[in-house]
Amino acid sequence: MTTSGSSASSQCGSGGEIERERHLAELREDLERARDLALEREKLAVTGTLAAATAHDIRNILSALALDLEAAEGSAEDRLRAVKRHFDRFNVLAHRLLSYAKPGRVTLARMSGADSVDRVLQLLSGHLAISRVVPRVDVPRDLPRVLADAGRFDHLLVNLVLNAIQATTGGGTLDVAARVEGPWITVEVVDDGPGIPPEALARIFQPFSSTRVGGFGLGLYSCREIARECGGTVEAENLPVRGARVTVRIPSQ
Amino acid sequence: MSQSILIVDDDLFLAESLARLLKAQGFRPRTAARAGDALAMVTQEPPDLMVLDIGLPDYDGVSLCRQVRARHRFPILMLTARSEAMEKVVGLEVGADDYITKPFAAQELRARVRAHLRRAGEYGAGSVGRLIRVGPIQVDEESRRASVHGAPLDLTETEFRILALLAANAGRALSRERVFEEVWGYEIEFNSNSLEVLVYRIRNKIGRLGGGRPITTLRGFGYRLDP
Repeated sequence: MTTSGSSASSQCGSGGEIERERHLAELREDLERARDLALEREKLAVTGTLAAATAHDIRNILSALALDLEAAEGSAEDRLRAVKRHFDRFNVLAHRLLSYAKPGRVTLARMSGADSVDRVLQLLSGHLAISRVVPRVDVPRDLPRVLADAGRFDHLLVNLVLNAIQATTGGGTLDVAARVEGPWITVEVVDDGPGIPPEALARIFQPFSSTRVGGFGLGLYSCREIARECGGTVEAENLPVRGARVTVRIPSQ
Repeated sequence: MSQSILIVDDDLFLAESLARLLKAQGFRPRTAARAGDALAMVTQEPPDLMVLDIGLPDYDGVSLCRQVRARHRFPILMLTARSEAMEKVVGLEVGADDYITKPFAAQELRARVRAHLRRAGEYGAGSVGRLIRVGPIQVDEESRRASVHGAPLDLTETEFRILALLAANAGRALSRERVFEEVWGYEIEFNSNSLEVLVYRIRNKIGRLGGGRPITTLRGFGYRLDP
């Protein structure tokens, strides 16, 4: 009886164990489903916010474009210039959006950082002018080439310069400098705005950590990702009196 | 002296294009990118009309609209990037006179700015108005004041225009189209609920002063103010 009872109890214990295991497995599955669902919802929420912010920008550009096209005064040349500025804004928006995307394949090639700075400052000339920000460029023409994806490097610079322009409220200056530092090419973008709030400095390259009201918080994060793609780094610091400096280091060719 | 228009929008490109267009129309535009700057400019020199974007970096356009409306009666035309009815309703609730959804055409903006300025001008200093009494409600078109049982009704310019129109036609049914035409001066989307919101606000204000519910909604047609 004892043996039999013990055996029954052991069977019972084994059955209970199996039941517990099954229950645990079900709980794990539920948990995974809930996590997947939460992730899915989070992705949808982020996509929705990004889509809304993008639509807002597009509508603003289209409104300004429509106004300038219909403006009665100004020569045809003036109007064309105004229209070009809005096309540049679409291009800047495309740079920003593409910088957020994870590329399928990154093609690193020898490229001129100096040419990239020229292209980006030209593209952002309208933004600089309207924000009354004067760019000062110190980039030697004979700067050694870097090993990077040219398109992605432009995205990075667009984000950095745009960020600096937005930080410089009410006009000011913006310095873009590049130089060789050992095996690196260093590119610095310096604004003379109020600086980065100290509490935000540590997480400024984290996604969704914008210090600007209405900012999406992906610009500097994507800068860090692009720098990493070509084996580089990016860091930010406040200047002693006023302004902030963002430094990108990319391996030279 | 040309009429001044304050453009409040943090999109500097759009603000500049708006200013260029309005300047070409003979207006005197000024721009502000932040709500704080806009408030300071309004205090220093109140404009004849304000074009206000609902999304601003320091605080939202709705709060700014509420603050400005508490002290000034000039028309406020709100710019909204979204077409959601809620945003428009909120804008009108806090005292905006009209809204326009981006993207918009220059012609549409010009028409609305002119219509609002004309309406504001018609009721401005020097115009001869009537004193209309409907039950406990009194509307003085000359001083732009309305009261219920002698207590002043705090109305925005657009609300005043609606009440004055209903009072001038007391007992008569007015179609929504006619109210739009008379108050706004052009035909805005008839399916919009801006008029309902404003009538709702007027009703509440009259009700709070013990004036009852003298404005009747005529379903599918319009409104009537009963003596």
